[in-house]
Amino acid sequence: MLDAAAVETLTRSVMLGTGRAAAPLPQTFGGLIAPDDPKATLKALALLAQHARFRPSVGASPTSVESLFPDERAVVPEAARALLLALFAGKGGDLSDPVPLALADAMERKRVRLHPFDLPRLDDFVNMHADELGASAVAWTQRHAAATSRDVYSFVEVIDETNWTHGRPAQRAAFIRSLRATDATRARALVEGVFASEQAPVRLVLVKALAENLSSADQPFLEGLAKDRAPTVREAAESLLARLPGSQPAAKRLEECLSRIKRASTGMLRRRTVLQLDYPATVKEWQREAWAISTFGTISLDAFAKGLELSIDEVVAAAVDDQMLSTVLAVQASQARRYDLLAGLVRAGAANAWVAIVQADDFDIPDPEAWSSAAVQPDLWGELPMAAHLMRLHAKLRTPLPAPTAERLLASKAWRDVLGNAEQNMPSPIAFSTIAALIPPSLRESLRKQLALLPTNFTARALTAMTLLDLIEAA
Amino acid sequence: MSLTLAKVEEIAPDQGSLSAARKLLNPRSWPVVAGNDSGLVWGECQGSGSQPYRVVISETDLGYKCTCPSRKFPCKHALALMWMRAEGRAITREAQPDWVDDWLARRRGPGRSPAADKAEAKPRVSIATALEQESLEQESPAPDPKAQARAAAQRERNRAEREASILAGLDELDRWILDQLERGLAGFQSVAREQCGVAARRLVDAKASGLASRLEQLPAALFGLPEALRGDFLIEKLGELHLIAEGYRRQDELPAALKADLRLTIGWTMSREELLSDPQAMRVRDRWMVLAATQEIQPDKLRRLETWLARLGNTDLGEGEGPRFAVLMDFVPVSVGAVGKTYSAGESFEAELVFYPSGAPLRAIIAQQLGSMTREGCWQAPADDVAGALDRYEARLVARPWLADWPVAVRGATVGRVPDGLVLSDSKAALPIKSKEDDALLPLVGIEGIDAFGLWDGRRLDLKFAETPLGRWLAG
Repeated sequence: MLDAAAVETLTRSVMLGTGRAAAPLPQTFGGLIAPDDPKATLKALALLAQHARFRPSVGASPTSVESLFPDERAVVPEAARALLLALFAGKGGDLSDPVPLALADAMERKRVRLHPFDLPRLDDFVNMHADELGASAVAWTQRHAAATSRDVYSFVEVIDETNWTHGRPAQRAAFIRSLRATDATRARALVEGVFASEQAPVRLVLVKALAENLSSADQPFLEGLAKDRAPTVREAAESLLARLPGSQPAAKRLEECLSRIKRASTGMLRRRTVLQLDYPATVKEWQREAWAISTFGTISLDAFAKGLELSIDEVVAAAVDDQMLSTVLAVQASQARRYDLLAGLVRAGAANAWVAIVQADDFDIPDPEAWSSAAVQPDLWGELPMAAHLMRLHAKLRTPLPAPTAERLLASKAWRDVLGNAEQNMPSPIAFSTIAALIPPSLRESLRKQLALLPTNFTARALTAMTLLDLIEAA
Repeated sequence: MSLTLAKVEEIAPDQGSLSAARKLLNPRSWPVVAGNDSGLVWGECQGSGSQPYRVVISETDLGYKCTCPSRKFPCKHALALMWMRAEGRAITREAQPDWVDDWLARRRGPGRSPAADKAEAKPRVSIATALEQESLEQESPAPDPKAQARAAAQRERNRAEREASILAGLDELDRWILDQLERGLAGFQSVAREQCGVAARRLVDAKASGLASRLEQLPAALFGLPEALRGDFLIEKLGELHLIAEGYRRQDELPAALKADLRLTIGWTMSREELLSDPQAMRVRDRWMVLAATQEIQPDKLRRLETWLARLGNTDLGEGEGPRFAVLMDFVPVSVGAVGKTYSAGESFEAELVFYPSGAPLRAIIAQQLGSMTREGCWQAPADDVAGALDRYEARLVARPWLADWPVAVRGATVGRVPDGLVLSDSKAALPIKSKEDDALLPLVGIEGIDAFGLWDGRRLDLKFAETPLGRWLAG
């Protein structure tokens, strides 16, 4: 057995070079290797190597055996794991349709988490929806961050007034929005209390959260933000002020809008007022919808009618010949939660007003069920809307369509045409997976039956997504 | 085991093949789909040519054959047939056609069906066969004893020439190692690739391809280690090369198994037929569970497929009771493209394995597979703690001093963190774990009571499989 000193000497010799630091081999090996052996150095090397291999090679005791991804939630059902991997992992994984969001939302509603062993393979999915997938997913996304640079906000499983300041920005904004629905003053007070100490991105989401139940009581706070350090925060506050009747920005915006309305009278026997949008010369034709929605969308419906010196019903009747103006009014009705009026406008010609609403970043849909019932009327669709629009609809609603609306969708001519002509038109599988995400649980069986008639290469993803949603909702 | 879609996914070489197979699921593409009760399914798939491709799959062992010219294995046609089978599409039951019989007769290894053996044992009797045999006999006359003797003598001369060539190559290897030692291993890293490449080529010329392969792989292994471990690693590897060379020179003094192992290590080969016909070869009949299936591309442009098996029948075997683990190795040229996995971790089957001769038997082939594969429940590691597993490793190292990666299993361990990585530990000892680029090991941290399996190279454990209270963990 070589002793430590001999090992040290031999190692030093072979590392530095036996030409420079020859090892005293006969002494080291106690005569086992003859001094005149031409292979003495090689033998010494082989013995040193074997000695090293038998050296206890155990590692240091662990400094920590705490889980890196703690989470109170239950793990998804075992049957769901393979399906999640099939949808989102590996080269065949796809995150471009609404299925990831639908599943993440379903998991958040049921308070279930991914199996920790699947986190590496579902890395892209986790990075995209960590806030919905729970504490372990958030910890996974931050696994490489140094303790100092790690996000100071942690995932809060159940958020309330006592812990909301510790939650992640999206959680905090959602909490403020929900509190605004029941106690707008308290919610604003909470925001005011922490506002100065927050970073700009957090201030921005908190200000945007105040859009829910906005009232003149919020005006002083919003006006105070005109001097905020971050331009994004200032712009968000100004945008909210523009929605407040009586505020200076709102008055200015109303004046600008009224100047863009052409008013005329028509009819031989019974004269009636006709309203038309007058687009600025600088707005190209393809920019008109975006311009109209951004300019008129935040104006209060009542203030708009008052400015035109007409009743709301008269405004609606006068705008009937200008589809864009009808769409603008539908957006205003949506913002004012006048769902009866919104439904009427949609039936009267603004069937695709929902597309404008869901595409605008500034508009929230606080009551998805009532809004969907009024705005989404599939029986009026000539053809199925683009998958991108349906995806946006799902992203805004974050919940399936109400059952009656979804039922009308599955029975609509637009949808039946897609099913009937699938083999000729080769629709994107995204169309089917988007519909699968929008359909409530009660109608999934009906959709399955419809999809069963199509080749599986169109429908496999949609069918897998529905199976997964069923599994998660039953967890 | 009946085919499942998950299994079809596993066996597919890539996503493109699966997508292409999906397009072939239309029944109109398959004028013929049939099967029999022994798990054979065959069909004819209409491709772009005038003749349909003939495809046959064996559900029992996932064997397949297709007449298409694709260089992906399995091809989209075989995958589509498996897919249809996994989905439970109706097939007609009928007698297998001649081309399926032909495929069965040509098959080797575990999948060779009893039907094929039966056909071999009792040739089909027909006038056509008789005429065929007669013409064959006329074409190939009886072997000439003199020619056979000449061929045997030539083979012996070739063998002797190769022995001499190898011995000369080993002398050159010794000189090369001495040169490196004289210059010092501290500076070897900067020239490792070039130097090892040159020395490996010389060994290839000397017909010591096994040793050449070890040398070619040395730089990659060296640079995969933390800087602090590289010096010791070089000493071990160069010392090991000399040990193998010296052992080869004195092979006649070694026990038979170790001598045979040494010759295989140097580069001599042993064909499957030679191994099967070797009466001394160790045979173990038991139930085996697949713990890992890996692929690695070697410097010689061969893809090495390794399937690591654990013996299920008796997990707590003492010394002399046969190996507890085995590895099946297959080699496929890289040029044939991606290859799907035939075995997946978690599957098990009963088989007789024949082990290549060695002081520490590990590599084996399947002599006979009995029955089909099944999905195994929870695997329990042999009752070793970390220190016990290391003791077993050292015992194997005594028996085979040039031991490479060795399977190690530990019961009831925990994965914990240390400043420079992770360790598999229990209350007494810990093994450093080789890190994975995809962080797949991190979710294991903190889980207690893990039954773990991995490959220990003397420094770090490459964790491959773990049964945990949260379920089974598999290396990616």
